[in-house]
Amino acid sequence: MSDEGVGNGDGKRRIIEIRGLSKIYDMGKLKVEASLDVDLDIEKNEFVAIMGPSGSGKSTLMNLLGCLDTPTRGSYKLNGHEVSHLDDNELAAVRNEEIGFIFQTFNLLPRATALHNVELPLIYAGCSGRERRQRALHALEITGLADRADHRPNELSGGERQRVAIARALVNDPAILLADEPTGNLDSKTSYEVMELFIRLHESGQTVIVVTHERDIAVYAHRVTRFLDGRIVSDERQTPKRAAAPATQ
Amino acid sequence: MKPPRRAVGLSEGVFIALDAIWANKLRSFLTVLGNIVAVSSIILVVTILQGVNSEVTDLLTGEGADVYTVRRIGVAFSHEEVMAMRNRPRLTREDARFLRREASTIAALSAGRDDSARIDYGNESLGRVSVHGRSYEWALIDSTGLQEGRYFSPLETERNRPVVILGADIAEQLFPGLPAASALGRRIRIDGLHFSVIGVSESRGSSFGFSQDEFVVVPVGTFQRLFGSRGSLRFSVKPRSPEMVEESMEEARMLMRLRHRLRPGDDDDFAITSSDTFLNLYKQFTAGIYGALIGIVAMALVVGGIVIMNIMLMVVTERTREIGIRKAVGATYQQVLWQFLVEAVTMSLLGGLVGISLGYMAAAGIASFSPLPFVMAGWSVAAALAMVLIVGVVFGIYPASRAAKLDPIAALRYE
Repeated sequence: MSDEGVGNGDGKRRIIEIRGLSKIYDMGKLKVEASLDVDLDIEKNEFVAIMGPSGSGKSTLMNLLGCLDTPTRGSYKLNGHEVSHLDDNELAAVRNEEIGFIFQTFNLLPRATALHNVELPLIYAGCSGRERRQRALHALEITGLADRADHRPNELSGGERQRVAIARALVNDPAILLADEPTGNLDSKTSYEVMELFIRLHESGQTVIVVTHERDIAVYAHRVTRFLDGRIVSDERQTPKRAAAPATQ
Repeated sequence: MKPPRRAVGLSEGVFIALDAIWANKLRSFLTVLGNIVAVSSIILVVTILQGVNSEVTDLLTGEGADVYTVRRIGVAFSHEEVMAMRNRPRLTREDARFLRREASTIAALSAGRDDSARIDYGNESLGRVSVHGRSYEWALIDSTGLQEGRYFSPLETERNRPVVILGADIAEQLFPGLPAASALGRRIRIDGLHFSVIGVSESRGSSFGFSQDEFVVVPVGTFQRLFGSRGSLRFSVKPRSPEMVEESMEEARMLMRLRHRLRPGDDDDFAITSSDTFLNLYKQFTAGIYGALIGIVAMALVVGGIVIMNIMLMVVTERTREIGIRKAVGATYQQVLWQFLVEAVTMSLLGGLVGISLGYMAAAGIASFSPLPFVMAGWSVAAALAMVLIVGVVFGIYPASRAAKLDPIAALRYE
């Protein structure tokens, strides 16, 4: 975050640099279930869709990208820092500051209000109560849910829940937004609205990585990286689909 | 890479804990039942014992803590001891004079005995009033003091004069509605014999619900005329200074042995007791109760702690996904550990607080139905809170570490 200003102008700064990254699961006696061997670079302010059928290793890559897991081999530089050998607490700090997760099942705390859910990363960052509230409200404004701040998840629609989750992902001003099948639990209209939101965030400078197996979702991205059997089989830039109707302001 | 991060604030942790506890009210209540039982019994028993303590101490040191007693029969713990004491010589006024004359450490000595009799004045008649015989140095020993009049003169004691000092309640009952001073000079009857009132005692209040002011005091010789002189006397002795109690007791013992012509090796045929003698006996007794209390409380707390631990393990399992979310957004091992530890401790402390209020209410209830005073010991509250705090930490740490060790990927996938 310290040298963020440098990259803003050229838009070419590397935010992710992965070299020979591999993960081998130790399943006790069955030593191997090798799943991954990857080189991948992602520039700042790219909008990347990582595609692949289930079992292709994209979940494993997602976990590694999200610093939820450590690789068996290889190097992973996130925002200029090597994170492949960090311990659990250091990884937690990286997740807190550099990564905004968005999950298929939203993963909101059911008993907490939208505002409190969005505040959660800031709590672990050690922010004071007032700053937390301000930043969380601001994030909810970006996702268009400021008027739902006091609602609990069960009082919100699926699309609204996902927008709360996106606000939570944004609140710590992360280096990457990492979305895992973000529309998997949404109907097509709501999916479209959520993708619109990703497009807007991308346009405002965010780096967005969406892991999906749906072509309809991948079409919004500027770049599509396809996975099969733990390897990248194609990596292409494309002209993203732009939505015709402005459903949200 | 970033500034060091602090643990989640205590208030945040307590807030999460209270929210979770509130969401499962009945379960939380059952979880801390052990704590509630343990703490309320601590508070209840300690409060009752404190009440008894203050009464007993007042009662035992009624004549002043430095006054000791020479008596024929001491404290006996068995029937054999009682039988052995029955053959002892009685203590007489001559013994008292000898002791008073020969001892160098004694400031005042009053020979006395107690009995009860009917008391009349005009139409007022009081049955079975305590009558105390005392000699004139009782004036120096009596810690209650007089509100009106005077003590006996040496002459009145020597000549066995029919004079009487009334306890505050007796004056009130014989002369209802009149000020205590108006009792002076009046003639009352004790077992039919006439006595002049020369003094009225200050009020001593009540102990265990019984008035301490229903007595009359007459000169000891007069007392022996009323009740006969065959009963043994009891000497209340005040040493020259409070520091001299031990020394004076030893001197009195030597003199009494001399007086009774005991040989070296013979057992004393009298007893010397101080308020400490009875206080110590009483303390041994209450120490037994405290010991039993500690045992019961420790058991209840251990059982309660195990329940808390199991429930917390269940809570951690239930909230695996929540833990996964928290870890995904950056909660560290310590932060998750702290959250669940605070939750266990908060629950344990809440149980303690409920226990304290229940114990307090039970003790107050007992106090209102019994003559015991209500003495709430601050240390018992502090000890109870400290114990439930420790239980919360000790039995909360394992479930909390289980939560903190959860793998975020597996936890997020948990259904």
